[in-house]
Amino acid sequence: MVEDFASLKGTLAEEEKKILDEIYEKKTIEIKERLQEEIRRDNEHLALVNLCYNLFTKTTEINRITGYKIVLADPLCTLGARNFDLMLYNEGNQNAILIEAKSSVSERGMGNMIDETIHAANEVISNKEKLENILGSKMNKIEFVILSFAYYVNSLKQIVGSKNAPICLWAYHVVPGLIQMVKTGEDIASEKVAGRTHEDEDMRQILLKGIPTRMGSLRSLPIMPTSHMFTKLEYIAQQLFILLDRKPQNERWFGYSEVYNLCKQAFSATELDDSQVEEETKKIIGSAIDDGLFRKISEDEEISQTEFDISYIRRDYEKFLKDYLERRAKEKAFSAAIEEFGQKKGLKKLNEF
Amino acid sequence: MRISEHEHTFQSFINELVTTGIEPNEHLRIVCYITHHGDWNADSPGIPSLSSLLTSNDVETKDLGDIKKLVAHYRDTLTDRLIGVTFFAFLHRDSRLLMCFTNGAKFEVEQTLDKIVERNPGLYYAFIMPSTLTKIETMLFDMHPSTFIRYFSATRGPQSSLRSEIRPEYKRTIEYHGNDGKQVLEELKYAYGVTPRSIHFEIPDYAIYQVHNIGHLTIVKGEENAKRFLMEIVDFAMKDTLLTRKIVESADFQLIPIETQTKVLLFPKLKPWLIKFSIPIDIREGENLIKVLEDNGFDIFNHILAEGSLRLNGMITDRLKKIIFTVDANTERMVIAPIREISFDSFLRFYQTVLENFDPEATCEVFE
Repeated sequence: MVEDFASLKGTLAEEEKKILDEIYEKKTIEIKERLQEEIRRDNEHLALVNLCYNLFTKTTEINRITGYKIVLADPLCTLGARNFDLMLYNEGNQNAILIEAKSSVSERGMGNMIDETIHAANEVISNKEKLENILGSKMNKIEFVILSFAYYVNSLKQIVGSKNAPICLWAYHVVPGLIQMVKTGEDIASEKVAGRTHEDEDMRQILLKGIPTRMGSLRSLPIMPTSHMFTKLEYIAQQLFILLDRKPQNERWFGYSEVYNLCKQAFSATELDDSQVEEETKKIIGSAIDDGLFRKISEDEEISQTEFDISYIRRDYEKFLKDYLERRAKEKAFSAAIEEFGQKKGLKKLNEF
Repeated sequence: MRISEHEHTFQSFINELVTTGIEPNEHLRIVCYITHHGDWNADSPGIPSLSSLLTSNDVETKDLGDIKKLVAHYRDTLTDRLIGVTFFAFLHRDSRLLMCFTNGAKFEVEQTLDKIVERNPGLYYAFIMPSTLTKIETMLFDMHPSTFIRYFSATRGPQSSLRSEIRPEYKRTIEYHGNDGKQVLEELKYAYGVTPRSIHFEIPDYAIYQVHNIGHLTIVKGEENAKRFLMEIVDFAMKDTLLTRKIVESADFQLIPIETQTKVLLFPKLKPWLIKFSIPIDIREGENLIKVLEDNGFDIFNHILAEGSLRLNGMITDRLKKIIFTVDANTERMVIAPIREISFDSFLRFYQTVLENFDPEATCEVFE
């Protein structure tokens, strides 16, 4: 795209070059802000997932009372889907609950989001057997939950009702720190049939009363397979800093296996198998090289044989976010600038210049 | 210090120390640390034994029964000569409190043992909290009403949430010499929002004691009884410090296995400890807290800082103790939990950082 941009610029008059450059600068800033927002949202999402995870880990009070416990994180990742963040299962009634955490959603996007969740829920039901195979247990009923901040849930309630969506809504009240299920109708029997309240009496009662989130969003799951690449890079880099700090001065490098082990640890609550963790590791290393985070200190065709160190020294590490945004934004800004310039000129495609 | 080099019990060592061990014009400094291991030679993954840690930092050691003689070295910047500082160390097995007795100067301790403690896992200063310092003061004034404070040093970080009448935004250190130290300290606490770090107490015709909050307790003048009383002050001060250690050690990390058809999944289960703020904090103070942590070698990452009712959560790397943990703060409290590795020393350093720079009256508690 850099070449396209340069060759386009070469064909333009001085005045137009100036316009294109201005568009490019504007686009770079816009994309940078968008990326920063994406990263912030990803962390918000991770915080919300962990908020819920911390309540339902095996042997917590809620697990003891309701029998539900977390059995999978990112439950559909091996089925190639990104929907749903956590899966709860109750061995007693053999019911499962799939939870999707939504840290932010625009008023306009709510309808689409509910449609997508309905679609994903249908997919899950048609793949029920696969999930049962993964879990190694039968599932009687699968219930679906959207967990979000209380102020979004109030608006979602109307849409879930109007679309007759089989979704239970859990609202997170930041004050006083509580997850509470929202009633979408008064008749429990019909709500159960519609999939908008929980079948299990204990679970329903405890959620209607509200569960205090005393552990907050402590990051039991520091990253997930579906996390933003920057979130993953940040976590892996900080772990590697520690690992390198503990090594003797003349051995401060790391290889593929160290990154692989960190990924394997981080994804231990997911169904990713070794080869999928390997794939994930390669993606992270590839991105870390492209984004200038890892520096190769030995050249080898095989990534697994290559030795790396971190390009940033500890006290300059904050620069990584700045550089990351800069690099990523620039890449995207070239094509966005060409497109906008074309639109201004009444052209649609690059080859029309 | 003159201590005979034969086998000692702790009691025989103390007896010799307070009777013939110190010249009348010499001071006696007790430097306290808390350790992970209750045994000199015990080690565990990631935490070397105390013996090997000292050896690898060029400290010479010699066993004298329950006591270990240590000679640590530092390089004098003026003469470029290597100077040895002698300590007689006792490690209490149950409380895992390491007491090092020396007549070395404060800066010599800082140049030797403190340096090792700062950057290695498994041990930390027996930090004396501001509230404990106040308790020591009360105890001394109750027992010896003629006591006065002849010196103190007190500080305030610009991010401190402690009320300050005058220019609260300034970072300040105040050192005061004068026999009305007790009154002046109270006045300065109110006016300048400072917290004491070191206090020198004088009990007329008895002793002068210096208590420094990083666990250094010293007698600079006093007879045998006054020297023995220093041990009581140490006991009194360490009670709170050991309780704090117990609280941060209640934190835990477990991996709970759940077997599926294809693999054994491992689910992290965290048990945090908590810091309760003395006053509710808002977004601006949340930003201050992040600044304080970053200035003290804690990097916060993958975090959220949201306004409204404050939400601050994410991961923290302790650059000095080389460990990662996770925190979640709201307006009233912060919960802190280990991620895989558990490090009481990093948690103590974290708590100390919060007390000294952010909220001197914050308390710590077990998470029930």
